[in-house]
Amino acid sequence: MANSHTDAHDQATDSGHEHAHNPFEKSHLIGHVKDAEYFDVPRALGEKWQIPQLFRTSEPIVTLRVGFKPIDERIEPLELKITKFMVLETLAAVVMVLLFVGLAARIRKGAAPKGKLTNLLEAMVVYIRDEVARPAIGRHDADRFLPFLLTIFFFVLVLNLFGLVPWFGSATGALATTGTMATLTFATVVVAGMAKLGPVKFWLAQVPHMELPLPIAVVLKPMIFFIELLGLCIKHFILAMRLLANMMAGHLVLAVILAFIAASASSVVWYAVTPASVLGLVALSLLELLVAFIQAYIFTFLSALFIGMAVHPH
Amino acid sequence: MKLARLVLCLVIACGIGSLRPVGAYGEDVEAKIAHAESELAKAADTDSGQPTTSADPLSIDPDLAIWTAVVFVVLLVVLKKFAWGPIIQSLETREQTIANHIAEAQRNHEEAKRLLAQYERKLAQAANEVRELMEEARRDAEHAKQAILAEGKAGAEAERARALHDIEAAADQAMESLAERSAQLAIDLAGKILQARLSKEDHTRLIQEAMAKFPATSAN
Repeated sequence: MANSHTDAHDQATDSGHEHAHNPFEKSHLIGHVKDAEYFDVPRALGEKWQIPQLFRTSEPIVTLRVGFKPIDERIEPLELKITKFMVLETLAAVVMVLLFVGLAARIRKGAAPKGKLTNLLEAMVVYIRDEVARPAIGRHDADRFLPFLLTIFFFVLVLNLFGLVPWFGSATGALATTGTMATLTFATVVVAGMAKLGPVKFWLAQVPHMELPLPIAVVLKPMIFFIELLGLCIKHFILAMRLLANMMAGHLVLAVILAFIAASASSVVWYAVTPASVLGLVALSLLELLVAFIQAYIFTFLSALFIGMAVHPH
Repeated sequence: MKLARLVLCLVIACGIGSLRPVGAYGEDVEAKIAHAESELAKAADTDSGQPTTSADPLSIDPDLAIWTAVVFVVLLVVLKKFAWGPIIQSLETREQTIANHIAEAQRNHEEAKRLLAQYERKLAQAANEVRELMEEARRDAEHAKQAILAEGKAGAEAERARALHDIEAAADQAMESLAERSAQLAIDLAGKILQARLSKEDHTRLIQEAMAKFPATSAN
């Protein structure tokens, strides 16, 4: 949304020119919510702050190919560039370390929790433990995965909330981010399952227990195993897509509504469109605030659920 | 709330920012230059073969993916060691302490209830004893009263009877002595009268009269 603000400004400016581009152009709108090598800042501060590219290679190191065109054409080359989302993720990590190491220091004293921040964080930590981890994984195993789930929840939450900070962006609106987190969840699920049930039994446990006559079982069980395996991967892929789509869509809608202002800039209706757009943006930004929390919760809850299913197969 | 306020302010600020009169940039040479510069930069970017960010919302940037993984794993390790571990531990300890306190309070409460019941029982017992004692005392007093009354009554009765008897005896004696006295007096008086007036004839007549009466009397 932050990006959108500054750029709408741009567009309002551009529309004054005869070569103004179409504010509803797809690449332009998506550009607002996508990763970049610069921060959008107000014009007075220079409009764009380029991130110094310290490690960028002149030639891409490698461009990954999986041999499937729809995927291949979406994989960008690896070139060690530093992007806005990387900076934001690092910032999120720093914020989290400060918040929770501080909380740990306060909580270790054993006194009653005091202060808004302490209570806020503690309430969320306890909520994740009691309402997410323990019901999904079970009282006995939950605490082992609690650090992972807490990190996931707060990392996603902070990144989502960064999306609402002016001139930042939501790193959870990039498939590379959500996909990596989903992959890490997938890895946790597989490792946890194999550690609990044994490497072979875990994979065999993917096939639900069925009473089948032997000849049918020989044919059916491999097929079911394959389907279950596919399901396991799809579940985690959807985990990534859900968060991505929610964050990206919300911010795209904000960008579109802002683009209304730019699109009407040369006409009289601008005076009616602008207040309506601004009010709509306020309302939708509040909705985004809600979505930021809900999506962080859902991502964590589903991760917990998948871990629980891996640890207790049936 | 603060965040929402911030967002609101921002949106309003942007709204106001875009309130510039249309066409004011027609002469805004600076803006034109800036735009041209950015166009140039874009062109240069494309020339050097470095791809600008694609318009595909599903594009995957491996740089970002790797960095995300690195940041996340480092964050997980650091927080697990310095934050989650102590926090989970302390929460557990605190919960245990609270649970212990509650259990202890419950135990104390049960104990107090038990003691209260015990003392109440004792108190009721004591009250019963007191009531019995009072009852007994009243009964004793009643008995004593009845005995004293009966004794007094009997004494009074005996006294009265004796007094009556005495009176009767005294009256009898008095009557007796009165009769004696009056008979004496009558004899004396009669003797005196006889001595004074009785002649020979009188004597004879008297005897005769007495003799006459005699057979009548004996006939009776």
